[in-house]
Amino acid sequence: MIKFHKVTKKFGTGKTALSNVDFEIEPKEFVFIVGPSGAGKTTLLRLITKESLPTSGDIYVGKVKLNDLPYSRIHELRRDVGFIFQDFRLLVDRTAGENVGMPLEVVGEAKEKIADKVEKALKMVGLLDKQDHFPVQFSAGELQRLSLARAVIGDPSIIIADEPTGNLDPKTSWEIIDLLQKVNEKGHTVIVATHDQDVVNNLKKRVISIKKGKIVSDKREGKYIL
Amino acid sequence: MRHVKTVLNHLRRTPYQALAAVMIVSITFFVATLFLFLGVLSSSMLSYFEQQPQITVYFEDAKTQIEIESLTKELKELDSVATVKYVSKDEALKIYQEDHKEDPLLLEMVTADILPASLEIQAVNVGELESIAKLMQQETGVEEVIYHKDIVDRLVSWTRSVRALGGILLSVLIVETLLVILTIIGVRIVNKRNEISIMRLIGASRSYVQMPFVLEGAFYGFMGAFLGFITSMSLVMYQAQFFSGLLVGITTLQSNLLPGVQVWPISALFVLIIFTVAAVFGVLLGTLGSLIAVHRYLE
Repeated sequence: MIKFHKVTKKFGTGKTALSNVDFEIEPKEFVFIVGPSGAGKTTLLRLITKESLPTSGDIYVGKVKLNDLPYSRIHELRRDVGFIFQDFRLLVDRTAGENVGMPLEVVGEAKEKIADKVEKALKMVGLLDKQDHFPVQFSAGELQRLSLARAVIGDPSIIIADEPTGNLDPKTSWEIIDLLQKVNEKGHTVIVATHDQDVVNNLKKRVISIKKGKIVSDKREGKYIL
Repeated sequence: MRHVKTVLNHLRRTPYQALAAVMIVSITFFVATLFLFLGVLSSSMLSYFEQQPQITVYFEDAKTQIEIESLTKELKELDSVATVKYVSKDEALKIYQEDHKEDPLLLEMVTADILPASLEIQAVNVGELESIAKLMQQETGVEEVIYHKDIVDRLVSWTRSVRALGGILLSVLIVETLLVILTIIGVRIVNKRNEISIMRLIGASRSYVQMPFVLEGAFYGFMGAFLGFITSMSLVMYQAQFFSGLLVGITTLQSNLLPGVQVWPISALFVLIIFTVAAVFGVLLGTLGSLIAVHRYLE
């Protein structure tokens, strides 16, 4: 469960990114966060992983109140959250397999176990045959699939995707969304921040719409209304 | 193992930075190990001379044994005197015979009559030597007073200089080394900021992210210490004759600080101790520099 209670985020410049935001996301939900550029979508996602701190209000992820989570224990929170970014954020000097296996490597998983899980994750995204390729050898769609494989390999309960289809053509975008749906069906909570009206309107999932830092609508089987 | 691999990657990708760091650290440890050697050597020499009968008083034949024994008693009551040993004419002859046992001609020519009786006086500390010597020179029936004043004075001054110069030089070099390691590790962290942020996002703990940088600093410290040790010990070996000359006739010198360790001629144990001290200190210095960098640039 993710809960935002009267969360406000102001930047040092005085700009208010989020204002008095309240919502709850139940486990295994698939939720779109939509809104125009600068609405506060990314800020909201960054608050969930404590990359950023709220100016006021409380945030809960599971039973953990993030406000009380010390900096030294943030990694415990992040091990239960998988990330997918618009710009992929893969390490260029590591192979596809190494990139995907990183979340397991940082928790000290055994090599054999990592290799086994990497194989399964790459198989899921259809890139098993490119395990030893480097990121520069992949297309944008493939990079995003790699990113997804890395996000799910540690079996986190939450998957966060920030504009996962932002750099992709419509066909590839749907491939990624299909994969995210499959991940959701396996029991992961999926939160997707996006501009992609086509995807949002066709999927009929919960949609939280944000405008100028405020939630303007929150509907089950919602539409992109902004 | 993963961290070691990461460190090796760092070194392979920026060999000149690594070389610069190791060379700077090695200069520090060249000076450090050299001064450590000189410090132990001078301190052991000083201790050696302090433990010798520092003043020898030779008496004229007219001085009777009763008078010498009375003088011995008076000397023993002085706070500045540690021990007093009477060497009679007969004992002097035995010592002479022992020293020249391989030269029968010299042995034949000398009898107990021509050798003077003497007192070997050991002072509580070096500073008392002069006053005791003066006291003995004023005594009637004293033929000669001999003590190692020059040697001891030179050694005290030398030991002080070694400590002062070594202290100043090392302080400057340690600060310089820390700054170099801090800068090199800092640059490394800045260059890898993107990678670090990704690692943190996927759940790497702070210690996991910090470890390769700390290990890299420790590696620079160790390698620098090793190279510094090799160069300084090579110099000492190369200048062995010079050091033998400094030892003014001492054939073997034991360390006063490390019991049972032979300082000169340099023993393997002494070399091992110097290396261990340098290596431990090198690793600590490198680790400290990188920890400062990690806290400065990673937080």
